[in-house]
Amino acid sequence: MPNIRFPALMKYYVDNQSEFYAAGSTVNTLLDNIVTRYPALKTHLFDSNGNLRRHFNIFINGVHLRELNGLETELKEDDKVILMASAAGG
Amino acid sequence: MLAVSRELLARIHRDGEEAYPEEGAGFLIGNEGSVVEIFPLPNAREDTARHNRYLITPEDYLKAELTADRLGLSLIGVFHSHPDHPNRPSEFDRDWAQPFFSYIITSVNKGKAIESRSWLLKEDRSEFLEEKIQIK
Repeated sequence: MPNIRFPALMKYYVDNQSEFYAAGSTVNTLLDNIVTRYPALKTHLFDSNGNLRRHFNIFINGVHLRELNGLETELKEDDKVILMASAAGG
Repeated sequence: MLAVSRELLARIHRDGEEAYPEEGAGFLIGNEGSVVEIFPLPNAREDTARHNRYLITPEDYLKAELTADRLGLSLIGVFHSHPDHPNRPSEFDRDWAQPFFSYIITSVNKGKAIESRSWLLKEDRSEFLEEKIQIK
């Protein structure tokens, strides 16, 4: 089962864990499973159109999703997924 | 309420003045509504957008998070400046805001920092609420 690391700020929504394991054959299904487990996370992770909010970046084993197959990237059992935020505004 | 020392607030103002006419930004490091340190970072937006937008890259974000960890503290918010613009959050700010973070915005008029106000995103993300800055 892939391991996922969350930004410290978001730990509140995931039982104060910075890392945990979640099932998912793709990044999309992994995120779906996480939101099913922690529903309060949904509004902060996804916008009203269901897209991952722009300030989140996902790395699989250190490689950014944009260099892979985006949210459809397939995951292996021992993959390390890192959810990282960027900060922006105007 | 967000407690900030006079010295740290002065550094936040200085960062906004030095970045003028572009936006300056960085992290607030501390605990429980109290700023203990600030961590200014480069504005990673493209040249043409830095006058009204800021971006802190994930790499710099991680660097700040690790620095806070080392100090036994947490990232508790972000500060940024609004050059020649009021210190109220924009829709763009709300779009990108994160829960629990304090957002200090400093208005910088003609290169001079005027005033800072702090804002918190409501849990339903519908708006920002102002939180009082207490000078400690």
